[in-house]
Amino acid sequence: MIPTQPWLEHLVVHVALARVGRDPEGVHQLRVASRRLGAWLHLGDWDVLQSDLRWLRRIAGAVRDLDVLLSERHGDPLDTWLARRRERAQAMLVETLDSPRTVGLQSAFETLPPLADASARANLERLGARVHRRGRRAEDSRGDSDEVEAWHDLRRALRQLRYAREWFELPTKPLRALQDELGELGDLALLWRQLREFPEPHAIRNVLDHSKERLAGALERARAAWKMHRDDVSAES
Amino acid sequence: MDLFLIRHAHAENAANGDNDAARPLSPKGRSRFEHVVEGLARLGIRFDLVLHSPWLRAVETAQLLMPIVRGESRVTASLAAAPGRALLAQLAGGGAPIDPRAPSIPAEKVAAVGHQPWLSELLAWLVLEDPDVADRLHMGKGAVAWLKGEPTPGGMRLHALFPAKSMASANDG
Repeated sequence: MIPTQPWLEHLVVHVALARVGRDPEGVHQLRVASRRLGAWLHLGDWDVLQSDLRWLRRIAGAVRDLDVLLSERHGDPLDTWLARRRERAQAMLVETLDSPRTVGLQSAFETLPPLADASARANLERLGARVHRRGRRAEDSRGDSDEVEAWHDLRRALRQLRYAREWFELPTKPLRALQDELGELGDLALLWRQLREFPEPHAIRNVLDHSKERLAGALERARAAWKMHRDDVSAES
Repeated sequence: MDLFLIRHAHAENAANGDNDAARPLSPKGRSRFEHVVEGLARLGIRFDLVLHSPWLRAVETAQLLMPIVRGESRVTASLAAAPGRALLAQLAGGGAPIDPRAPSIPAEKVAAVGHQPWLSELLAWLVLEDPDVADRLHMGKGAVAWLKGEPTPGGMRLHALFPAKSMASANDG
C-alpha cells in the first residue's frame, strides 16, 4: 500500500514558503510535490484532483519560469521587465494559494486512501509505454515547427514515469539523466518564449540572436541524448 | 445555466475517533450512484464542470461522475461548509479564471457535489432566496437537484429532483 505521504507534507510546507515568495525553492518544490502527487493519482486511476494540481502548477509555473530566467543576468531593460512580470505572477500565486480550491486540494489529499500495489503497477507499465510513444514522435518531428514542443512532451512523460517509479522506490538513474539533458532545452525554449513577448525587441536583439543559437544547440543535444538513453529507459521500464 | 446539486452517495459509518472527512463510499452507495450516472447519461447530460467538496465521500462521488464530464473537475473547500457568496461566485460560469492565460470555460452545465445540511441550504437559497427553509427541500444520499437560471439568491428554479433510488429503479425498468 502506498500512502500520499511524505509528498503531501512536502506540498503543505512549500505552499507556505511559496506564499512568502522570498525563496525560489518554495515555488519550485511546490511544483515538484504537485507533480509527484499527480503521478500518484495516475497510478491510482484517479481522474479528479488532476486538473486542480495542473491549475496550481500552471500558476506557480509562471513564477518559477521567471525565477529561472532571473537567475541569469541579461542586463536592462530586460531584467527590469522580467522582475515586474515576476511581481505580478507572485501576486496571482498568493491569491491562488489562499483560494478555496487550494485549501480544498490539500484537504482532499489528506483523506485519500493508500494505493493498492497491484493495480498501480499496471499503470506504471502504461507510463513506460507512453515515454516511448512520445520519444518516437519527437524523433519524427525533426525540423517541424512543433519539434521543441514534442521534446518537451517527452520530458514531461519521462518525469511522470520517474516520479511514478519513485513511489515504488524503483531505480530511476537513466530517467533522471535524460530528464536533465532535456531540461536544458526546456529552459531555453522558455527563455525564447518570454523574449518574444518583450515589447521592444530591437532593444534586446543580441540576446534574441544568442538565445536562438543556444536553442538550436540544445535541440541537437536533446536528439543525441534520447538516442543514447532510450534503450536504458526500456530496460528500466 | 443548468446547475445540478448532487449529494454524495451512501458512505460507510465512521468508527469512534475516525475522521468524518475520510469516510469512503459504501459498496451499496457506489453501486447505486453508478446507476444515477447511467440515468444522467441517458438523459443526455454532460457536465462542463464538476465542483466537489474535499471530503472523501464527495471526491469518490465526483470520480464516479467523470465519465459524463466533458470539462474538468474542481475541488473546493466551499462545498464542505455552509453556503456563502464565495461558493455562488464559483458556481457562476465556473468562476472567473484567476489565471488570465487559462481559457475561460463556458460552463453551461455545472454539477456541485456536497453534503447535508449545506446542500439543502444552498438549494433553498438559490430557489427560495432563504437558506433557513432548507428542511422543505431535503436531499437524500446520491440525490440530484436540477436547477435552471442564474446562481444568485432566488435566481434559480427547480427543474427536477431525482432521489438516487428512483434513478436506480428507472434504469431497471
